[in-house]
Amino acid sequence: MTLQLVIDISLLALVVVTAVAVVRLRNLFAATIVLGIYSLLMAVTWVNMNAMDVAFTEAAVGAGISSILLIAALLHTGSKEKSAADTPRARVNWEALLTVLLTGAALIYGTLDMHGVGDPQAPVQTGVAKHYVDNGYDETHSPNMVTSVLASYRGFDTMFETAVIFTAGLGMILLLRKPDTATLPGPANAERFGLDPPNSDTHQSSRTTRAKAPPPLGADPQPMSEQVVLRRVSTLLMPFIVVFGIYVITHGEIGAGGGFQGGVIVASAFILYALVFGLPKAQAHVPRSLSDALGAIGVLIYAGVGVVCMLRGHEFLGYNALGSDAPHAQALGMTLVELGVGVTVAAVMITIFSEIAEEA
Amino acid sequence: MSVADIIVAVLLVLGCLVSLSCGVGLLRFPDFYTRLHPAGKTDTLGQILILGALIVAAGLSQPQVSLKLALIALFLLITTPTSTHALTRAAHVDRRQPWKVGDPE
Repeated sequence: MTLQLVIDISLLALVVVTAVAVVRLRNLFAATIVLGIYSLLMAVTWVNMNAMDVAFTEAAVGAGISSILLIAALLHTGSKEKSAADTPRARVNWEALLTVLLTGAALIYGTLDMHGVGDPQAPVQTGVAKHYVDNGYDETHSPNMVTSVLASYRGFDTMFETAVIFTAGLGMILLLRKPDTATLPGPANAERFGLDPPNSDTHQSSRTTRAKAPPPLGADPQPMSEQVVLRRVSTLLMPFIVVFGIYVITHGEIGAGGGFQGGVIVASAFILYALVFGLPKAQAHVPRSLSDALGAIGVLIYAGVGVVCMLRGHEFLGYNALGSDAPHAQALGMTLVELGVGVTVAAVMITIFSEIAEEA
Repeated sequence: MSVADIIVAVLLVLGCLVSLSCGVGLLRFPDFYTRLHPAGKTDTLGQILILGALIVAAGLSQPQVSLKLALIALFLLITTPTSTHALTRAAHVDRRQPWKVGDPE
């Protein structure tokens, strides 16, 4: 038994333990944190399998930003799951249990036909993957094969993944965004929103109650933005986080990373700022109109690269159209496409956080 | 075995021991505030020791790796105590009472 196998088995055992713990825990804050641990363990498992890009995504998205978004969502719900004692006597749902058992048995039976890990005869190795391994570097000059597959060979898939993220941001805006508080209360806007024009008295009182309401993130007598340690450390780290995020976006072609991970890191700088200084101040730097527009612009950059390729006489996203020298044209195309992905991911993460963390 | 190897081994063992004591402390201490003591301090020290071992292992032959590891160590040195500070403060604002001798554990 190799050392790697021992590490893999212990990691996967821990993954199972954390997964069961998430289901069993009644305190939702604790469940969220354990979910973050689960993601981190999965990331380490991916590292052990030499899948650096996947590990990076899992750590940034699964352990990082998902936890923040879930905790922000918990601000609006309770922190406790309804216990079984509150519900009518729980009985075993035999139909569901049978379905689960049968599906699980079928899946395990299906794995019996699968090839072993790394088997050279497995269809995944003999098919198109061989072309990527043999010719990937010559055709794209990208030392990171994952990126050349993701952004070039399978560029069409990735474009629609970006579109899916954009759609998620759009959904958040449509479902959760309240009419803009800055423009809403004025009588001039009342007709636009189909409201009765408010008389000045009620308008005044609503404004004072809004001012008195505690800030959304903690009723600390001393707000976080006035605590020296948090303020200094967060402002100290901010530029480094943004620079690292942009580095990850643009460097995905050469090393581990890419638009998805980098975009999340850039967005985390905004979230850190919003947590310490409050959402309104963060939105003064990145207004909603900007993050909304950037979410769409990223997808437009991606699709625009494809259209430019078409206008130059190649197929959609055929990066060779972007220059006379094929590998360099590929590199240029992949970098531009990753930039589009990064812009969309960062903007949409900011949008999702803003909409969830908005005061209830 | 070169001098560098011995330094790496010593730092790694020390780091692992400190991290282990962090885990034991988390399980053994009675309440939130006392648990932050191992979580904050020993965790920082353990990470720094292990990263120090890796920096020595990468050495001058791979300066770019050493530099990146040193930056990570610096980052952890700043952020771990800050998060401990924020956690303690949040617990205090939440009016969580510290454990006293004689309280049930």
